[in-house]
Amino acid sequence: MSEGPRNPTMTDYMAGVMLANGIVWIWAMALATFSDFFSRIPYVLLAFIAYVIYILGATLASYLVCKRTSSKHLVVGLKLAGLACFFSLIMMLGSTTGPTPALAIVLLVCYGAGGIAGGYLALRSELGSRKIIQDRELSE
Amino acid sequence: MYWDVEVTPEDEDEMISKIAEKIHQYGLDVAAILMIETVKPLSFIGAQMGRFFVSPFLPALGENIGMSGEKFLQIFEKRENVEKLIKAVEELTQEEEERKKAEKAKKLEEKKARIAEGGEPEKKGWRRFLPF
Repeated sequence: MSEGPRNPTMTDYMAGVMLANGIVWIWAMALATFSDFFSRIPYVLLAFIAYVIYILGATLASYLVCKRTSSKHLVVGLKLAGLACFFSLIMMLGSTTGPTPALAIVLLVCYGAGGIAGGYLALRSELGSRKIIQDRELSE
Repeated sequence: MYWDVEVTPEDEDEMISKIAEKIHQYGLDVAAILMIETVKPLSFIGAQMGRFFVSPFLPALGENIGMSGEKFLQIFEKRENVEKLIKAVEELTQEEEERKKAEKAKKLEEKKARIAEGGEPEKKGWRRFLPF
């Protein structure tokens, strides 16, 4: 039974932002904790892994938030990506180095890509079910 | 602009279903829905920009394309038609999913029937090379 059109609330967005940033911060903590091990890996490879983790974190968060909407998946994904990027930069203000323009751009691009990918995956998983069409009919 | 095109509701439905089938044929259902849903609020502005920037070049492409282009702009400047297009693509995807499910269930039934008759179950993938 369909309950009508669904839209994520502010709490959902905040949860998504926390999840996206949480994964990134776990990676940062791992880098700091196992610095001996990671110092043996080339910096280029580490940077590549970091980008992949940023994208995966945003994809997972965006997918879960987009599952809570019945329309405009791309908008929801991008909104989440923007919020996650903003929150990440705010968090970095407290760090010793602070946010740099290059880091801000990298975060925005990676989170944006993750947001789009999450929205795409959420819509694809929903398209096979009747639910989305029923929700659309109800919202008209 | 260059042709006096009258668009009837039948024309609208025909063009919408034609576009939906084309989208579905190329497997772009999800990407198309994502994009169309996002730009839906700008459909009127998009159509007006199309009239300004694209319409003047349409006569050079022949009468058929010109007329279709004019119809296209008239149809998709209405937001409800954009919504109809999304719905048509969703329904086509839904139908395909149901067809795939039915095919899968049919194959499973056939396999079960073959095993019940005492036949060997068909081996798939790397299992084909096993002697047992």
